[in-house]
Amino acid sequence: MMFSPSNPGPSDRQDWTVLPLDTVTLSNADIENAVQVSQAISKPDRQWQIYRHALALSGFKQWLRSRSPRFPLHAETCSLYQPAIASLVESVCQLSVNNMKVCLLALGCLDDPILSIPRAVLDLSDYAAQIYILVDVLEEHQQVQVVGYGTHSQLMSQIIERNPTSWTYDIAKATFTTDVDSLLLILERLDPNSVPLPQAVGVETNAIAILSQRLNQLWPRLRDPEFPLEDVLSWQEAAIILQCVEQQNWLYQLQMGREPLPLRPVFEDKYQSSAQNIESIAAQPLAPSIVNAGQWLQNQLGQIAQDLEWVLMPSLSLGFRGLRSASLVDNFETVVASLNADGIAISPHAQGAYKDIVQNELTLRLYAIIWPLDKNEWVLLLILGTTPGTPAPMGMRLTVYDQSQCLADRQLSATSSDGYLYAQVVGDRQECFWVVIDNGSGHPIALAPFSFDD
Amino acid sequence: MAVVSHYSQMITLNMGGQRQRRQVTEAADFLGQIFGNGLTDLPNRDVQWTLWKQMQTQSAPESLLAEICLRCFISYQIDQACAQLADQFGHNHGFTQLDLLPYVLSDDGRFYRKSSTQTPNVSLATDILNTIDLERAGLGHWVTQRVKQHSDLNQFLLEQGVYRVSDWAILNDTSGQQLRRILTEFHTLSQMEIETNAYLLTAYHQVYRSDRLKLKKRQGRLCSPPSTDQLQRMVAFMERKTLSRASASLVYQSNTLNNPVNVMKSLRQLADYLRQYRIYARGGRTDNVSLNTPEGQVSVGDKTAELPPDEDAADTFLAQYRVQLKICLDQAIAEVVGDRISQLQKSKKGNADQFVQGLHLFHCCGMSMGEIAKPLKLKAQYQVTRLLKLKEIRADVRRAVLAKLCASVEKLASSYVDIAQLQQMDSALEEQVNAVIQEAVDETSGTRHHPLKSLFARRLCDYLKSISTA
Repeated sequence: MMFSPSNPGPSDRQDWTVLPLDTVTLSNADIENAVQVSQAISKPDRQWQIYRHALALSGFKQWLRSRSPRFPLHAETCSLYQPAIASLVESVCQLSVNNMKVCLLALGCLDDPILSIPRAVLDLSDYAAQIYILVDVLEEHQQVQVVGYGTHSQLMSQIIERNPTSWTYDIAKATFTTDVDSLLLILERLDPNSVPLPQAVGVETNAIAILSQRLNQLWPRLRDPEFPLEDVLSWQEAAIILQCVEQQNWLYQLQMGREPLPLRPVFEDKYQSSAQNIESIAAQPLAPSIVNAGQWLQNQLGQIAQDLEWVLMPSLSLGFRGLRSASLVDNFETVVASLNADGIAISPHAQGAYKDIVQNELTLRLYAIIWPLDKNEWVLLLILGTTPGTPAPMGMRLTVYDQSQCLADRQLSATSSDGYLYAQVVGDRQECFWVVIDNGSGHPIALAPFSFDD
Repeated sequence: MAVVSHYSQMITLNMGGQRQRRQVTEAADFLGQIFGNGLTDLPNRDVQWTLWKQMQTQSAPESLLAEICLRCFISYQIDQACAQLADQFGHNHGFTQLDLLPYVLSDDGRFYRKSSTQTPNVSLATDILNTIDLERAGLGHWVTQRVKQHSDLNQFLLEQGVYRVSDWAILNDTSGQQLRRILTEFHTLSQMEIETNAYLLTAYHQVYRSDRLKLKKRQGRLCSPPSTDQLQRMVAFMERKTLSRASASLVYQSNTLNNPVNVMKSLRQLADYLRQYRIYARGGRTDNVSLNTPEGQVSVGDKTAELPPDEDAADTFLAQYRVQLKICLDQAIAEVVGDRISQLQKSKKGNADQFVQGLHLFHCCGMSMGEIAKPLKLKAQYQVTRLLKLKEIRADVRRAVLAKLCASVEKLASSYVDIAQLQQMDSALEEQVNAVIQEAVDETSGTRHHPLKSLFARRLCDYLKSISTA
């Protein structure tokens, strides 16, 4: 490296910068307005980016007005004012200037020659632009300057490295043309139809279904305002969300702390077992399904549980004598006996159901046992094993979440002598529990959540 | 090597705002006592270190005397820093060292007891002495740093068109991704150091940026250093995260980011890393745009005009429409200048008259930018240049002329189908229009005291006359 950090000599002089003549000064009202726009979302790191981009838009508008007051600019519907999108895409896209699709990219005072540009505005037709405009935002000094521009094809040809899961592309700032006078010429004179954009590619319903499952499962982390979304979701997942209004809104509601109902839980594990079902299931309305386990106490399975292929177990108060199927009794009784030994006692008033989950030709069996603890609280005991005669797969995993966090995360290890996993949680009557299972393949399945409403 | 006078002469401002240098006899005597005649053989670091130690002792006269020596040095260093700034920017931006000194040279030069309740507002010098860390750098470094970071001084310079990005703005604008890249590739830090800094930056963002968005008072938006409360919250954030992340706890245990003082130090260090990268990335650009001939640096004529393939056709077209040029130029001037005037009328500053007068003085009276400042009641050429923005006006007029010319020819009236074609056709006309603009540019680069003669200037003056009589 040519530069030696230990020698600060020349830097003292270069510390100061002359304000370029063509900067635009932002008013206090511009700042306040940008702050307000940023408040539409709750994640602090995203708020800041939206704020900076709102400043970029203010400055750009002002600049355009001063240079070419006759250009029609339509910003009302741009991404900045759609918080569900703004919280996912760091730019001002879906902006139109003189019928040209324009995207603003705000630069910071670091003057980094490498720019990280959201893939959304280059890869997805809904967000892509014909002209990308670089806007320097000196937030602290309330100054904005339009510094360069590039076309979609120019940018696409100059991507430095493609990390397949990253949400951004790295592109050198030098790719952009710095003569902003010619930008005005292009905006004024170029035929918008002549600048190609990426073609719209539909999202497969299968992919949406899998993503919805994952979102349901990841939601405690997605909601954490301090957890960057990029750390939880891959770009491929983000891309699907950006193309599905339902998922977008769900994520937005979640981040705003509004606890939306789970996405498409009716899906469950069906897509795994029969691929031809996917189309029909995906076509169903996205009504949330919650298994009301409270009904089991009245010996009723409930429609939703029935649809999801839960099987009600005979009353446990009979000490399992009611279980006619010998194998079922064997299996379950063994487990309960060993739980008892561990100090987990099942109430005589308990009631349960089980379901078999087939994935990759492997069948897991999940028992859900519930009983009321007192007036306000109830217990959910989950036991995950295999069907009788099948050994439990290594890495088999059982995870239970409540509204805000992971309550239990059990995994079968090589040293474990048990052929099952269990988790017991207690909740009040307003609470739901989400259960995620994995047969060790690394493809977890989220089940419709359990509630207790007797 | 140290210079005795730097430690025994105090530079202050007198009541009239004049800079004065005063010998502090007590300081000179004290230096003799401590160093004999050997001071000039010592590096500044050693002298400062010895005086600093003396200052820490409880024995009253020695402590005070050592302090006054250090304050002398601080006044010298402040004076130097301001002189350098004035030297670098003062001429073009209309300020002198004397404009800067009142912000930072606040030491009254009197003896007073430390921590006395009678102590007036703490001067920058006293504040520096209370906070420096001589183990990390010499006193000169700290003084220069503090002058640079001084908020009122920064505000003043910004108004003159010179700014310095604060550490806090740099940290605000740096993402974790950038930080990792810069510390890895540019500073080649260890993985552990990088993770620690990434972690620190996250904590800083969580606290400082959120607070900044909540800032009620919008005046004086320069970023101030994080308060102790903010630093505390950063510590708390890191502690909380440590509980939830195993990798973080590794980082956490390995360093001392567990109190506000250390967090502050680490933030400054991190900002310094990023600033070094910034300067490097700007390519050591001095940004010292010569404002003596700002109007000379026009991009309108700098494209080497490539003629379109159909050269003859272009020629015919141009010949036919040369006449049109004047008409279009008039229309373009009226449009571009008219738009600017109406915008300035609407703006809060309400400096439309100033703008018109400036254009008039420049084009119709042949005055230079520097000369115009006075009648417009502006401080320096820089402000005039910023007000008139001639480069932009010419570029916009040029663009408007081109558009109008093209519009009159059916062949060229349709929109272009690609950027290359647009630029090609543009360059054919450009030659003509550029000639007009270039003429205007050329004539303004020399000295003159007569009305400008270029077509652009004459048409502009006609226009200005028309609106003043309208």
